[in-house]
Amino acid sequence: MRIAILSNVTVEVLAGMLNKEHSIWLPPGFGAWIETALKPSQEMVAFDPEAIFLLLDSSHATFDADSALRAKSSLETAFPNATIIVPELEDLADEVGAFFDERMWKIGSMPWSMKGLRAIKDEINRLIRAMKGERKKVLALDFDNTLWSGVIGEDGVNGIKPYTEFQRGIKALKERGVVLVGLTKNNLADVEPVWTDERMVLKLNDFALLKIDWSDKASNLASAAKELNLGIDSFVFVDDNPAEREQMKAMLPEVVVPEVPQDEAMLTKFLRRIARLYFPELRLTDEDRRKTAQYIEESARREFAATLSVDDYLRGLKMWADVHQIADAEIPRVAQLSQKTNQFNVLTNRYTIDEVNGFAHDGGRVLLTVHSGDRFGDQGLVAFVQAVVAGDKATIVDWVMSCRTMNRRLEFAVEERLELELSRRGISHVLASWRRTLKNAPVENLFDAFGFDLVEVSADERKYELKLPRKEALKHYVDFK
Amino acid sequence: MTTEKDFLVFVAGVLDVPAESISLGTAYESIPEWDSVMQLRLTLEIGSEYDVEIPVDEIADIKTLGGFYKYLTA
Repeated sequence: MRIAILSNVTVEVLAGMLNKEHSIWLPPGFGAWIETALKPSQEMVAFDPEAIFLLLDSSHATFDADSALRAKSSLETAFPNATIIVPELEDLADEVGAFFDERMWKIGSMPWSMKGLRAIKDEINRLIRAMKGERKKVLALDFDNTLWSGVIGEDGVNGIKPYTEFQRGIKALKERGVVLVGLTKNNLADVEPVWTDERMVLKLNDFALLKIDWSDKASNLASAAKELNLGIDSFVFVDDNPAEREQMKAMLPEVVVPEVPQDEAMLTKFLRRIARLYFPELRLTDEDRRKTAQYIEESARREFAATLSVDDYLRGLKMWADVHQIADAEIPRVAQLSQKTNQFNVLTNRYTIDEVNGFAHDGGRVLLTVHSGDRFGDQGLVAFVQAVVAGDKATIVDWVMSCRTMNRRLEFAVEERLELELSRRGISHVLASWRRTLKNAPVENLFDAFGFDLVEVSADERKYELKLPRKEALKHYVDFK
Repeated sequence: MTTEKDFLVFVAGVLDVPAESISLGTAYESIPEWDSVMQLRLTLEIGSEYDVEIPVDEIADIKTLGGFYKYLTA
């Protein structure tokens, strides 16, 4: 990854530790971070960073918060394709301990110890992984003695005291796209009154899903994952009760289960740590912000599904899709989908914004995006397909769809549109393949379902072809816009 | 007790050069990898690996890898 680091202290030693894995750019000279940020040099522009880290130390050097903000927003304007990240060095220093080395500050204007440097290096790598979409998605929360002090089933709503500061932090996470799930062993009727209690910061509609019963929490978490169509490994589980935590760890080792402090005063700090480790704030797309609304819609869809046959259900959903050649404004979302989508992804190519931008303007490629929705709501940009065309042949290189829209035959509608576009371009011969990853088994037989001919198969790869025009139409229930 | 050879293998890893290419006699700035930034890094890496703290006013006086090794055997 191409990383630029701007700092108010010397970061050459750190750069030396990172440059095996990444390509690092530093502004020449000491203390040039603010000038460089406000007016990026030609060298920096030419370097074309994918990530820019602002490492601002306040323990030994100084900076004013206002300059930092201006620097960040200037960089965001100058480098629209880069992710600008300002790591929380103070929190990191607190956590790691022995973070500083006074000798280094004295002779090198570099405040960090070896331990500190390694922690910063790990933090940078972790943030980069998060940038690539490997961050967690769901915060699963216990209620009693986690969101409030007291036990609502025994003390009643008037006997509990909401942890308002903690709840405010959780609400802020939700605002940035983290999905909240409530997991509590309680009677539904006992919990109900809490949602109208004005001391509560978190309201009923902040949660995408609630599991309020006496089943074990691991089973409830697993079923929540299924209902939300998310992997169990995208959950972080917060519960004050060590026994519940141990049970969760034993039954679902993929779930992140942090230790929760007993002292209310420590909760805010605890939450900041969780946010930093598992839900780092990167550039948000509109899609992220709408996530909870979408998951709530998904719950409504499922209730509706329970009463009908599959065909009737799909027809009744009144799905619509707008399938079109990618627009420039959609490039970041397509890169994000390529990075995040593990299940419905036939070849699992991961793309940067730059790469997608290149594809979008390449006449030898057909890159279609899919915006879809149904009677319950707009699901946004949920899929993209890409084919490389040459002569009368086209090779499908990406078939990627968000797991939110799986199992609704939307893919058949999209495939129909893709083939229509390929036919329009004079293509008569379509090649496609699927390559196994840990998670993409759901689409192992996607092209079989589409009616392609299987031409080559091994344990981890399947290759297909299809002659256009196809004989039988693809069955779906989607209206095109 | 860390042997000279173990020490050189560790240092070569930090410098990112083949272990055979350096010795205790290798001097500061005699190879491009060992510049003033690397001087700080070596001080930290060696300090952390072997649990020694080189006094700040002596760091600039270390002119060969042997100069670092001395602190391990002191």
